[in-house]
Amino acid sequence: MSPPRRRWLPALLVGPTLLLLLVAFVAPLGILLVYSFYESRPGGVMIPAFTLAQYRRFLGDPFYLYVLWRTVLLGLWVTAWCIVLGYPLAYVLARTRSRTVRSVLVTLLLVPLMTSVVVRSYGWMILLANNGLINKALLALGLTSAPVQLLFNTTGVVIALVAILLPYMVLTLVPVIQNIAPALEEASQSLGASPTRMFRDVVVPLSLPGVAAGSILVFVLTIAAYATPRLVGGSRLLVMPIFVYDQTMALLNWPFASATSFILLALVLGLMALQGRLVERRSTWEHGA
Amino acid sequence: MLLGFNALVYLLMLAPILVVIPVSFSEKEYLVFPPQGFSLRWYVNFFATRELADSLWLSLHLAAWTTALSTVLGTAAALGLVRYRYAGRSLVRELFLAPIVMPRLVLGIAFLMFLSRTVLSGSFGGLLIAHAVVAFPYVIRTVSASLVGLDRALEEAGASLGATPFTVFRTITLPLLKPGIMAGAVFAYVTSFDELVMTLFLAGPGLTTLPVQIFTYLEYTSDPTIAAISVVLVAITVVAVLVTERIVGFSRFV
Repeated sequence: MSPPRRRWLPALLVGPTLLLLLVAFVAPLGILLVYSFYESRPGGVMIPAFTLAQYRRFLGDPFYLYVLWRTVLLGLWVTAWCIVLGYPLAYVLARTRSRTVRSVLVTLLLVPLMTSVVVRSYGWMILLANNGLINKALLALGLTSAPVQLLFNTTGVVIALVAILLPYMVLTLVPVIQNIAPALEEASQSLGASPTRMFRDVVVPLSLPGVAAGSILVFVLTIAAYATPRLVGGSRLLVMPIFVYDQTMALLNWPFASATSFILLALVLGLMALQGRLVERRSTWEHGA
Repeated sequence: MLLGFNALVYLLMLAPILVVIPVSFSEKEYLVFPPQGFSLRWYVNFFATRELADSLWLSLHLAAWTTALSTVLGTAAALGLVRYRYAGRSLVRELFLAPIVMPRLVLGIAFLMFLSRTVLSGSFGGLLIAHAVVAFPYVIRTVSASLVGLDRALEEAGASLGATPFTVFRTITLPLLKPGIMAGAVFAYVTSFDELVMTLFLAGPGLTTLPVQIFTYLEYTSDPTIAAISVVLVAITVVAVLVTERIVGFSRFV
């Protein structure tokens, strides 16, 4: 270790970014917090005050609470499907020995992950339409006699969000499963356990922290997702992000929008703090929905 | 069976991206499956429609500036966070990585309210600052990962042979950090280029990025022009990911 000469150097390295974040991150969130205590009048008028009225308004109204509940429910559905579909894939990825195969499989996960959410939502609008590919396939296979309504409802949003958020689940699970020594699997099998039993009694329990971490990530990304519910869900699906957006941009009720944002934010940050304790190293790429 | 299951899971993730390709070359104005005919009219339409071409230019421009700003800030910050010990370091680190876990929706609202009180409201500068705030933490992560794995004996050898600290940094440290810096720059570029939800709150006349433009279009129509734009967007992303994977092994940093 070099002696602590040039004490000004770390300040010079960190300082500009610290300044940027204080001005352009802490201050905006501070203003959001301050506005959430303001009073609001119709027509986008704000009156400086210190009142909990906006929070009380949201938490005391059955309709608003129903919007919150629908959002949570959507999150739970998407998370459940991501576990079911993502776990087997993560297991195979974690146990792939060939580096080339692994690189190809991971790249195939990265491409959707790094493709704009608006493109993927649009793709789902094409696929889920009444005359879209999925309905054409269902009709051709004789599984249905009339097109199934998949677009502009909750079913479509769940399908699209599961597909969009699956890479996050898989990429969270892979390192956790990799850390389970293959020797443990071999030991249990040499002691006579069937592959099913080995999987159920050894692999699954040891990977539960990873499943929990991936689930929290997917849940949080779902309840904060705006673009996909808006495009694939159409005008009928009212969830928290759409509600908050409309309060901000259409109704111009900034104090109420601020308070609602903080309710959503409290949920997200609380869960992410919990998630941080579950996995040692977070994936670089966590957001995007 | 597991193979078939996983193939279906990949299909689920890739299908919405693959489906836009045939649609973008179709002749018909409305969506039919399978798409009929072959035509480039939607691509022509994309580049001939002034507001769409302007949006593409703005997005490329904004992403380039965001990348430059976040790469410099993020690399310096990673050095300051990994290499030195001082009071409040872990707090600073938490703060620097916080924009990643913030929902973009909430950040967008906060920026809208904040910028409306400043002269930056409705300006390119305001948009750039917002994009830099969400992009630079990725650079910190990838550069920190490179720094932790860096063998300090190499730098000490350089110093003991008489190189000044700056020469050591320029000729030894920086080249060794290159993969991390490049991966971070790609993350920053893609983050800015694809950013939608936060930018929706900040877009205005002359400040409509391509994702925002597509989103606004989709709320009213869905003619194949959007498919043509999507193919261009996906192509840019895929090239960025593949090139970086070839040069620095991108998947290491994910």
